[in-house]
Amino acid sequence: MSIPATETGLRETPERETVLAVKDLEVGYLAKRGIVHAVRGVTFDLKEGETVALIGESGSGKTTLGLALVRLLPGSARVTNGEILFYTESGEEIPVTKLNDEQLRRFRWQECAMVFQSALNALNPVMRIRDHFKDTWKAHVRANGSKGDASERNVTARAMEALRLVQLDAERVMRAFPHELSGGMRQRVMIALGLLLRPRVLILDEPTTALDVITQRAIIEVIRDLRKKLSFSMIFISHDLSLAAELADRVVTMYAGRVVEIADIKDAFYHPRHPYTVGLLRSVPTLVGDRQELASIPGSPPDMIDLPSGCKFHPRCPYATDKCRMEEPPLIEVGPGRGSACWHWEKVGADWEAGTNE
Amino acid sequence: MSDQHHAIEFQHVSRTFGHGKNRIYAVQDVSFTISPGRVLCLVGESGCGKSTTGKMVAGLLKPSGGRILYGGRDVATLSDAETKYFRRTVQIIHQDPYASLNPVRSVRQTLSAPLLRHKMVKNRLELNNRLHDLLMQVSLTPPSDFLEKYPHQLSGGQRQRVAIARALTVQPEFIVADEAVSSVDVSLRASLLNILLDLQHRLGVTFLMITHDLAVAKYFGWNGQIGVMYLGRMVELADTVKVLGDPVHPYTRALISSLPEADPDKTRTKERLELRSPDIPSLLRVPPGCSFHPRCPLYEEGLCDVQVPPLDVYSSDGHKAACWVMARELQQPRARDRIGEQGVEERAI
Repeated sequence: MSIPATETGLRETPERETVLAVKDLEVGYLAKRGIVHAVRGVTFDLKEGETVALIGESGSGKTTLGLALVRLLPGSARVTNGEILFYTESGEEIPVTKLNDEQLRRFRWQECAMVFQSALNALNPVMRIRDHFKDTWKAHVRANGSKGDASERNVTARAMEALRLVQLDAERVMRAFPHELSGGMRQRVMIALGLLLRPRVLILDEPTTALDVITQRAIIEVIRDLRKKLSFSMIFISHDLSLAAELADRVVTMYAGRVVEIADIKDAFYHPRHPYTVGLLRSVPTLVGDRQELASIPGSPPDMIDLPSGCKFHPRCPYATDKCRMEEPPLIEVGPGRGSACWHWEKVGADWEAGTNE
Repeated sequence: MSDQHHAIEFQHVSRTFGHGKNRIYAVQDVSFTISPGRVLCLVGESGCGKSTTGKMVAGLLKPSGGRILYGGRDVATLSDAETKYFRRTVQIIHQDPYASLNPVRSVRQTLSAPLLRHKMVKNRLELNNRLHDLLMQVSLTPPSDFLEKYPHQLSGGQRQRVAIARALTVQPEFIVADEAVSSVDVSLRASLLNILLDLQHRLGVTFLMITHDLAVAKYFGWNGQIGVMYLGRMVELADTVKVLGDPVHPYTRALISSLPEADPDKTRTKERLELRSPDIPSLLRVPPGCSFHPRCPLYEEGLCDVQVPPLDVYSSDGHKAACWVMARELQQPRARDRIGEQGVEERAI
């Protein structure tokens, strides 16, 4: 019953076109103590118009993976294996890992844009918002003269449109400096900047972290509204399960640099098949309903330089057996379009469904 | 300091920062009590004054106005001996364990200092035993692995455990936990909350829990109270079950309806309370009257923008809320219908 996943990951759904395919990607950082294995053999894809949530705790490799997708890794990082393939609207295949500088410049923002964590630091404090838009335009359009007319008026018009899309007072915001805007407004500016050139894929890294509840709600609604109006695909990176519950179509759970579970949104939350996902779900307090006891996952995340043997989750896992300590499980197909990297996924699933999960 | 008194009592406490036209009221006219062994969770968005309140409770800030009573005695007029007692029995756990631990002190040094300062151990053997106990209590096991470590050798979750252990060194009766679990990963957060809850149950420690996360407040303060703060004022105060199950103040309702839940069906169908403006006004320009009125869906001109509503303007069965409209309509349920139309019928509980 358990068929190891093929190289392309899980069963293809034929209706939707793939816009991004990550295959067996490995990224390491060079550190004094050795190599930090931040991303270890990650395979997943993103369909047209789809929203995928990359969920994981600090150190799970989710941000490294996000940065690798737009080739923005810091100098100490090395892509040691695997490829990232991007498909344009015309069906052209772009091998992101092999692009030269000029091709990269065209790829970034026109095809794939990223909204960075912490909008406070991502905007230049001595530049007006207007100039951020102009810079983005210059860097990714005029330099290679490929897309659109670079006249000042055109840039301004596009920027204003993007700002209105994120429900900001465009006139005022264009003139403002970042410090004149609230955290929520800055985050919306960042999203507008990301959408300026109408990319096919937008990557958001912790889009609502550090924002207050009501501001966070406003950002979630803006993103939801944008998804309705513009048809882009989205990857968002978050440690927050509830954000995935709000926005995602599919959830990719990462642990110790690897994908441990891929499932559509309902399955991820209601029928998890990996003990780590189960553990996460049982450790989050909810507001709806009665108070339920929370159980934390024992132990702490592994040292990414000196990883445990076999399954990297085994020191914290109630299901661990000798096989887990010896052999790292691949992403096993556990249902149509879903996978779990656990030798004991059937037992995990049965226990969850029976409500007797440990 | 007998049990007849409240563990802590705030009487119209205010705290300002700055001078002249730059003066802000971080906390204004806040009154509440916490009984010994009970929990009060303060919730609200950044800048609402919850941390300032926590610091005043822990004695790290002095109030600019009003009185703070600890065990029935005014904190400002304690004798030296009483101050020492207060300092020992009231402890605070700060939000950021990266900033709250001294980077050049090992775990052993960090935890020994208060024990020696308050002469709570007689000799080295006793000190070592106590250190082991403390680390066991916060599940840093085996303790010998951690005693000689420095903060940079520990993960965020481990540092926060050390910070909790430090608060426990002097056997406090009262702990102020200021966003003590916010910076910690979800899989570890539950264990920290359970450690703190265990202290409350087992040792009867009184807690002031400060958090921006209502779900954490619900989990931690289920048998206690929740106080909701907005722009320096307490706007709603009641038992946790009441605040979450039947919120009165429109701001509390907005918070509850905004919070995303880790359950796709529930969170996507949860009704929202639309505010008139998503942005919090600056503390330098607090709106007149009820400071929430520019954002409030219940706003009524001439009623809400004139006078500040006191916390007990709405008062029903120990449930207090600072809202003119809800107070007026306590008997006539029209205002509730108006919110109902906006669709907040589905309550948290």
